[in-house]
Amino acid sequence: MRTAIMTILVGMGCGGVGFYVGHHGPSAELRSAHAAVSPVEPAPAASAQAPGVCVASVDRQVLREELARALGGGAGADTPAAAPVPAKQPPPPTPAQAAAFDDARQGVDGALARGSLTSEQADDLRARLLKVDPESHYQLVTELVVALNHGKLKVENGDMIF
Amino acid sequence: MPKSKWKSKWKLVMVVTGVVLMAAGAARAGYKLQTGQVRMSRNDVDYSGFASGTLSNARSSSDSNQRIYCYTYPTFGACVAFPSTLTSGISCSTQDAGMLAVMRSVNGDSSVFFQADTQGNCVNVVVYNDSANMPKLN
Repeated sequence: MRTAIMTILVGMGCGGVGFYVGHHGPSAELRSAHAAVSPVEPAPAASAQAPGVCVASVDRQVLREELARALGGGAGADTPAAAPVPAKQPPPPTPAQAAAFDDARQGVDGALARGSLTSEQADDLRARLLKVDPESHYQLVTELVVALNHGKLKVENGDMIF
Repeated sequence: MPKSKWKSKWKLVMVVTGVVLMAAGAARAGYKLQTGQVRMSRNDVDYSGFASGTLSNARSSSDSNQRIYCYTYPTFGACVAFPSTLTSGISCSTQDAGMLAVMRSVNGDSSVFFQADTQGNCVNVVVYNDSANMPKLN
């Protein structure tokens, strides 16, 4: 009988302690001890003070946005990744531009094959180069520049203004 | 010849001489560079190199080979140099906006320095618009 009463009293005591801890949360000492053991976990005080909201009651869209923000994606993270913008392609050359380039190309190739440019040939090549688009003009002039620097092109009167 | 007449004539000669000397001195005042010939250096392995020269000196040189210039279009430009001692020259071209601006600052009294890499690209263009440069007269 005495044993039974003692058992009931101990049981009520344990229940009381359990109710207190469950109702008020762990003590400051317990929390600090827990934090010291597992410092990477979020502070339990914060979660203890957070209002108890049922996840199921939160609007899904809001939840998704909050999750995206928490994961560092920002507000628009749930939107599908934008497709890479293709580089703006230059328009294809017109027949006249293609013909002008071919003509200038032939002039440069001829100069490189001969390894020399007279003043008249330079005048002629300049006229051809001035008809091509700026980028092709630059590329062809650079070929002549390299040939000159390599000693493979002799230019009469130093006329290299192309 | 009377002594007084000889004295006044001597004075006149002195005054004229002084004026001429002063004028000559004024005309020659200021620091002047005496060199500015077109020079170039080229690496015979990778064909990179550089050149320098003053436009006025190149033009007034006694030989008929020296020439140095830069020319530009809206999107690219080039500098070219031919020294007196070589029949070949060196050149570089560029699309770099900064170097194009430098090239466009060349005038008849400028000194130009440029450097070309192995592909003929300009890696450096410098223009000196210096009062010490000889003016290009014709």
